[in-house]
Amino acid sequence: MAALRALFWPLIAGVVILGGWEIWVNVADVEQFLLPAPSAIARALQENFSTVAEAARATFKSALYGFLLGGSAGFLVALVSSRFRRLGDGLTPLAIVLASTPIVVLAPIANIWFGITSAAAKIVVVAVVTFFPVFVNAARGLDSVSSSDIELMRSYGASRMTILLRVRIPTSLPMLFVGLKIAASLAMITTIVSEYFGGSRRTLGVYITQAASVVRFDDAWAGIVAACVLALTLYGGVQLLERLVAPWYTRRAQ
Amino acid sequence: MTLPDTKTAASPAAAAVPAAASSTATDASRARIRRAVPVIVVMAALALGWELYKLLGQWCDDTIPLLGWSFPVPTDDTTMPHLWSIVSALDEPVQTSGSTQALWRQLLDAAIFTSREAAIGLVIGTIVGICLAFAFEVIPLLGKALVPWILVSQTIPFVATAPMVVIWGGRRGWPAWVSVSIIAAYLVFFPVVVNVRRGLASADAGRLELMRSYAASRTSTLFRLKVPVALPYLFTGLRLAATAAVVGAIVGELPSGQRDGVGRLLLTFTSFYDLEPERLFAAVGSAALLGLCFVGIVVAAERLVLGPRRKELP
Amino acid sequence: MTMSETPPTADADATAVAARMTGVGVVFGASKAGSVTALESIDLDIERGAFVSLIGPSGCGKSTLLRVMADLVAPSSGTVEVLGDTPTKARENRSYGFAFQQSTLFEWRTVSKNVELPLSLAGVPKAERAEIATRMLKLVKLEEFAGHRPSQLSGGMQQRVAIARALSFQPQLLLMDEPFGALDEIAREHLQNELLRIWRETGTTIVFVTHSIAEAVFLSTKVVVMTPRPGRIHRIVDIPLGRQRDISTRESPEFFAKVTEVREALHSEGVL
Repeated sequence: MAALRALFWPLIAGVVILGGWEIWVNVADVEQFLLPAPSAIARALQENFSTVAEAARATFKSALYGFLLGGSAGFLVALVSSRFRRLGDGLTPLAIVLASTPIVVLAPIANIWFGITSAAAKIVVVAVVTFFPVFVNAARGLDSVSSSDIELMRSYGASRMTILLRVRIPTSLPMLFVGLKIAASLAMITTIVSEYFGGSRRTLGVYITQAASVVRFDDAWAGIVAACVLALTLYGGVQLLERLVAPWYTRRAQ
Repeated sequence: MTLPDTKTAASPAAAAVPAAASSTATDASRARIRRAVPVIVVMAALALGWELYKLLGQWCDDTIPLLGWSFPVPTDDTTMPHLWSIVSALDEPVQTSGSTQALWRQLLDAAIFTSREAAIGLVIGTIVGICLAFAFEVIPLLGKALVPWILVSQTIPFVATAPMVVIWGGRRGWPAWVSVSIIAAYLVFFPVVVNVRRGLASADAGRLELMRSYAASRTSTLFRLKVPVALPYLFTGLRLAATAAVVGAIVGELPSGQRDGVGRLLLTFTSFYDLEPERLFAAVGSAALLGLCFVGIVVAAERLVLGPRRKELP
Repeated sequence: MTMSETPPTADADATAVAARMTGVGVVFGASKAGSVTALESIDLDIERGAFVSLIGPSGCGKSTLLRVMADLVAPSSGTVEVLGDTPTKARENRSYGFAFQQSTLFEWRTVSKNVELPLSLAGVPKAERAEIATRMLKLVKLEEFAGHRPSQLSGGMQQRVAIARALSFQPQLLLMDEPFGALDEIAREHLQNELLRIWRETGTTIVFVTHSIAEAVFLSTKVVVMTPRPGRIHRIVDIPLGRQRDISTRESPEFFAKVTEVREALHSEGVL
């Protein structure tokens, strides 16, 4: 019930925005090809559905695999760096520095190394991009374990592995999921942007740019809508996983 | 009766402040060097690893012995140029339409061009982000209605609309870089909004109660309490926004068709890769440096504005 | 501010009562299923110039009662009169000062600017603000730290700044919610002495919430013992130990007798 109430005002806003957009485009005689009306986009989506769906599936697969790869690598490295303190102290500032770079510019190099049309090139770039937020946040989460909890477990004679599984990892889960959510929101966009640097014709990024280049903007927007939906699906998946795995953590309201 | 915490007694708080002043300066610089060492070490290790990988690959013909699998990345000089050849390529002359200049010069000019777009995007996006955060603070209903859509909007590859924005701008006589700045601003406003909102909401209940007990108006509470409290959060958002601005500018340049800028160079060097592979790597490196510079500027500004308050956030 | 042993005489037309509560009750979450009765039928008079402590177990509503006086919590029933007015008017007139357990100083302001905060909110001109702040800091013996930042001060010093800030309006009523709760015992005793000195010098009425029996008896002219939820006044213990109190007071048999009396009152509630 509370969830429905939370959706109320955003839904109103959404209706207002979409409705306003539709009316403005028709009434104000804005060049339709520049900013198509929502109805035109819906029509384009319907007409090109199979093409868009196929491209969306391919792009989503790259995004998902890259996210899984980068996310698990991030968590594993965070575990290692919390175990070996000195390594961790060295890695974290490095990770912050690397994360400040526009990592997506690796895309052309990845294309050359793994082949422009291969999914591997995109997966690698997404993995690198998603690695950092997961690593930084998981490391912070693992660090946040209070020393008194650890001392308590040690006084029970618990082994290192037990402490890891029963104390460290559960405590780090909230921060881990913060990182995973950031990574999820980056995954789709990074894939599509990598595809802008070149990719197979059956991907969303290429579909969108090609449609835009022949000035079929409603087709391009149809692709954008598909990308949006898939990105939200990935994000929603992570949120669902969080609720299943760490239900005790009540998120602070934004 | 001696008072435990007046200045005449050896109070840790009062005495420590002047005495430590001279040594904290050297301590701070020493700490900075200590933090830089692992970065340098790892970079050196990566460089070494690069060359070792090449060496191994050349030695075993790019095939893992016994298993027969091929190396994931071929180690020939075109796919993986030697690091020193990338560096030496910086000096080589590059022929652009009309003039010849050294590669490093071309990269620098492109970086400056892109940085202008990124800077404008950063400024505009920050202003928009701050205004939105304030609007949501003053009119909470607006926030409840719009924030989910703002979240959704970030999943839209806005950069996909770059060619459309460019044409739209072109019809109004705007040069392409204006559209690119808009794209950069779009990527910037999100981290700013999220972090400033978080900052404005972070004023603790005790302080809010304090302002209430003074019968402070909403405006007073906003500007005297919430804004100073939100400032560290703003800079956290700006650090993220700085990288986003550079990404937005570079990627926005790709479909924009303009000749200047790092994005264009990346595309050009990709198509000439077979002849001069080093140039692409050099361009990627300069893009990375550009991103670092932007973040560095934000960090410097943060140090200037916040001073000793920098430690307030994790 | 007068330095005197006896409380200052009241104005001709001012009441002798700083605050009066009649039949006050506070219920939280009344409309929902899980409502909590924090306070029930509170009848309490606080005389001018008195030092009244509210003591009781956790959840007895003493902080809530303080906040009702401060117009930070609305009573569900009964009437409250503060300085002859409603609590809301008193808050808008800035007639009382409030000190919390956390010093709630603003880290980005210097010590003197923190003391000036309520004054600048009231629109007091700059020169006057600075002069008042200096006077207040002298009162709490921290005038040399005017330019420091709160982070450079110890916990006890920060609380003294918070007290200076609460007094900057020279309020007739000072409400304090366990202001020394976060400090160690040595710092607490020192600040208790300082607070009594300030009380004598300014003649303010103080209502003080505490967990500590010894603190309540040492500081107050009257100790109000409250019951656990729903909070009611169990007993009021008078403390006729005079206004000049120091270490000898703490070690006197009369002091111990009063401490015992308060402890017995808490014990008879079934709390101790």
